[in-house]
This record gives sequence, structure tokens and C-alpha cells, in this order.
Amino acid sequence: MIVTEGLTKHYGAVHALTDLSMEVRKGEVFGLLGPNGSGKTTTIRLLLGMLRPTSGRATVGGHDCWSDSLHVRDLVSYLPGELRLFGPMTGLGTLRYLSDLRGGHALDRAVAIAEKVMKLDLSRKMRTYSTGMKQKLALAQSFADPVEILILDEPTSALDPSARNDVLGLVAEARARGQTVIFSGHVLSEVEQVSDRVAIMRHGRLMHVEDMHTRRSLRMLLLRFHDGLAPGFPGELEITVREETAGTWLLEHRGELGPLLAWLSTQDVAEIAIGTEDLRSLYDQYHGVSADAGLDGVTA
Amino acid sequence: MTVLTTLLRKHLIEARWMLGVSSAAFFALAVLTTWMTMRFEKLVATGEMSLTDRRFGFLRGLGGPAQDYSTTGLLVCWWNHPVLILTVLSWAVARGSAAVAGEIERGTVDMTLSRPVSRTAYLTSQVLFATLGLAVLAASLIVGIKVGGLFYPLKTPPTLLTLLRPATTLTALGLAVFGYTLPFSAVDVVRWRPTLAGATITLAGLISLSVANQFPDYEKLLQKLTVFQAYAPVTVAIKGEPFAYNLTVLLAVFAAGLVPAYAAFLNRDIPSNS
Repeated sequence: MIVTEGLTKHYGAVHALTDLSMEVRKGEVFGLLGPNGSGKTTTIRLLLGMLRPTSGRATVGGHDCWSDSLHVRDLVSYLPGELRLFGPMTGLGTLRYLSDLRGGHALDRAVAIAEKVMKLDLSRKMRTYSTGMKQKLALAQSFADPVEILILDEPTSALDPSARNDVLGLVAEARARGQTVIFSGHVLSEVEQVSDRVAIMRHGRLMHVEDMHTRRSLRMLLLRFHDGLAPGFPGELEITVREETAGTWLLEHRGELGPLLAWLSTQDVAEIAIGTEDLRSLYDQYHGVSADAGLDGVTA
Repeated sequence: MTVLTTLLRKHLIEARWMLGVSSAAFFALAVLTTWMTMRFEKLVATGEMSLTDRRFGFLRGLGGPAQDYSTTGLLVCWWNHPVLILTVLSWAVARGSAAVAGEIERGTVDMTLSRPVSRTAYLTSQVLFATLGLAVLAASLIVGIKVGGLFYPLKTPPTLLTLLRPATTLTALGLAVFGYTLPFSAVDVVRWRPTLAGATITLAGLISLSVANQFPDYEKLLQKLTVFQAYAPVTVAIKGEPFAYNLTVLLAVFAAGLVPAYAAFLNRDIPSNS
């Protein structure tokens, strides 16, 4: 659905994005993770045809994002990270304006989401809305738009916790309807919760793409055996030793739970803890303190 | 509703106060000038005042062949008044600088251009709205004179066609200023720079015109450097002769600004405002 090939954007000596090649599949929620300046917003603006690539290309639904951006934007609804709306317009006027720019078909649905889900008073002028209320209004429009792709740049940044949950619910609904969603954000738990795959970016480069379905099936086992010695781990269990410290073993397991428990019951286990691993540890591999020391030389 | 009409409606909502207040002021000014003209003509007709009365000497300062003291001349000479001219120039520079740079600086361009709106349609809507606003301002003057004429009878009321000529020139003057401000806006990301550029060129034009006669060797050159040389509302109203030429010059400046503005805007990056 969305394909980039060597997509690069430089501003003189500033390398905003370098050699980005990735694919977003139809109907998936694709998370974009990275700190400020990592290239997320540049990627999104290149996809929308607002920026001209220095080199490489991007296509959305087969349309080139620069030369055929009008068709691209016909397929896409975008929520900017730095949202600015039109002060003199009312909430309803803003929704009408945004709907009319797309043929006017989505107004009723946008009003319904804004009033019923987001609890907004649409008779008020934009200049009286708080930042969070403006974000809710723009989200209502995005989720109402009859498009194939939603690009949400930090969609929950100004929202209260309950509204965040509403937005995550709407993202899940969008995926259920078959829409493709690019979800850019800083809150790891949210990206983790909604995404099918997550791309981690750093200094304008794509560092890693993680399949969240695979990751969610990952279990971490902390084991200590009575004799302090580890048995041989059966290959069919898909166990990987991540760490061993003083007779305590940290293992990764990606297979079915039943065979693992059956095997454990035959072992002389002194202590055991089974848990999952969130996105934080993966993220920290690229953006943690130790990563800064190790990767700076690679990405500079 | 088409994309273009949707954009025009948005521009109107945002600029309605400036346009509304300016138009109302122009209308009131035109009604006032109608009353003043009626009063002048009445005083001259009753012999209470002569055409050479010192009290009317200021009319010469407003430019044009108003010295003939025709009704049209007396009415339209006020279209050279600095307050009126500055209002038109302000509108032209404001719309020019707001068209692209102002919207990028505010960040509002993202919400518009992330929708299926072509950049050509977007910039065209800005050009159309600037033109519409200038036409409304000029029309307010005509309507003011016509409405004023209903209450204050004039000796020889000007026809609509007579007033249309200077009104068109006034609109074209604004378009010329808008035209040379727009390219600066089309390449920038902050509004103050195109505003400064437009205002500087305009001011330089006014200075150039006012000092031209001080330098006989360069008089013709200096006059060619300013769009104000092509703005002579009284002359085109009374004589009608330089109307086509003046209009052509002003519209040529407007068009000369549009070409680089479109070229730049269609090919530039649109950054976020953060």
C-alpha cells in the first residue's frame, strides 16, 4: 500500500531522512517510533507530497507521492503533530470546511464522532478550544474521512487518558474496517497496543522493523535449577538463551506454551518467573543510554 | 461545493472583519465626498464662493485634473487620498504575504494541503480572493457615490461607466502590489519578510514618484519604476484616455508577479511550522 525506496531528504548539511526503504501493508497499523528529530514527521510529509525527496521515491497506492500527490492525498487522511486550526471558525465550520475539501460526504459522520465520542461543543469558535479539544476535532474528521489510509502524527499527545483510550479504540475500528494506519508517536505502550508492526527510527534512518504479533508471542523465562546447571534445551521449543548469571538463566521463548510447560514439569526447577517483554527494551536498544554510545558512530 | 469555493469561503471567514470594516469606511467616505461635492457646487452656484476660493486649494493636492471642478473630478479626486490608497495597499500586501508564508507560519496550510487540494487550486483561491477583496473595496466607493447621490443631488452625476474606470484602476493598483508581494510569500515560511518586501517596494515606488520631478535627467526612468505612475483615477474618470494603458501596465505587473509565485509554490517544500 505504501512503499518507499531509498527515500532521502537532506536540507543542506542536515540529513532529515536517509535511505528509507520500507513497506506498509494494506490493512495494517504501522507504528513509527523515535525521538524528536528521528525523521518520523519528515517521512510523513514526504508521503503526503509536502516535501520533495532529495533522492529515492515513495508511492501510496501506486501513486508517486511527489508527482502525483493529489491522488495520494485523495487516499489519505492526515492528522498533523503540530495541529493548527482556523481561529474564527466554529467547530462545525471547521468540520464542514475539511469535509468539503474532500467532497463533503464525511460531515455527518465527523459531527457524530466529535459530539458523541469526543464530547465536543461544535458551536464554539476554534480560538476558544483547548489544544486537546482541537486535537479531538481533527481526529474526529480523520476517522470520519472515507479514505483507505490514516496517517496520525502523535495523535494522543494533547489528550487526557480517557480520550487516549477512545482514540486507540477508533484506531482498532479503522483497522477492522480495513483501513491502513500509520501511527507515529512517543508513547511506547500506545504504539505497542495498536500496531501490527513498528518501525524504530533514529537520526533519520530506519533502524529496525518489529512484527508485534511475533513479539507478543515472546515470553521471557527466568529460571534457576536446583543443581545450578542448565539442561539441554530441546530445539523444538524455540528457546534462546539471552543471559546467564550465577546459575540463573534468562531465556526467550516464542513457541506454544503447552510443550514448554510440559518440558518444565520434567526438570528440576528451583525457581521460575515467566513474563513478557514490552517494546521498551527493544526501543532502548536503539535509543537507550548504551545505544547512544554504540550507534552514534553508525548513524552519524 | 467545489474545492475553490470552499477555500474562498474560508478566506472570507478569516478576513471578513478587515474587508468589512474597510468597505464600510470606503462607502462612508464616498457618501461624505458626495455631500461635500453637493455643498461645493451649491456654494459656487449661489455665488457665495468662487472657484478660486482658497478653501478649495487643497483639492489640487489630491492630484489629477480636478482643477476643472467638474462633479466627477471633485468626487474622484478623493480616490488619491493617502488613507484610501494605504487601505488598498495594506489589503494587497496583507493578502500577498498571508497567501503562502502566513499560512505556513500559522501551520494552517497543513490541514488544507493534506486534503485532496492541488497547490494550483490553493494559490488560485488566494489570488481570486485578493482580487475579490480589492473589487469589493472599489465597488464600495462607487456604491457610496451612487447612494450619496440619492440624498445629495449633484450638478452632473457621473455615470456608472465613468466611475467604473477609476474603480478598475484602483483594483488593478492593488493587484499590482499583491502581484509583487506574492513571490516573496511563495518562497518564505514567515510572514514578516514578504510583508517587509512588499511594503518596501511600495514605499520605494511612492518615493520614486514624489522625487522624480526633482531629478529632470532621471524623471522618466524614476516614473517607470513605480506602479503609482499608472494610477491616475481623476484623469481616467474625466478623460478616459490612459485607462487602457494604465490598466495594462498594472495588470502586467500583477501577472509578472504571479508567474514566479506559481512556479515557486508548485515546486517548493512545505515544512511544518514547528
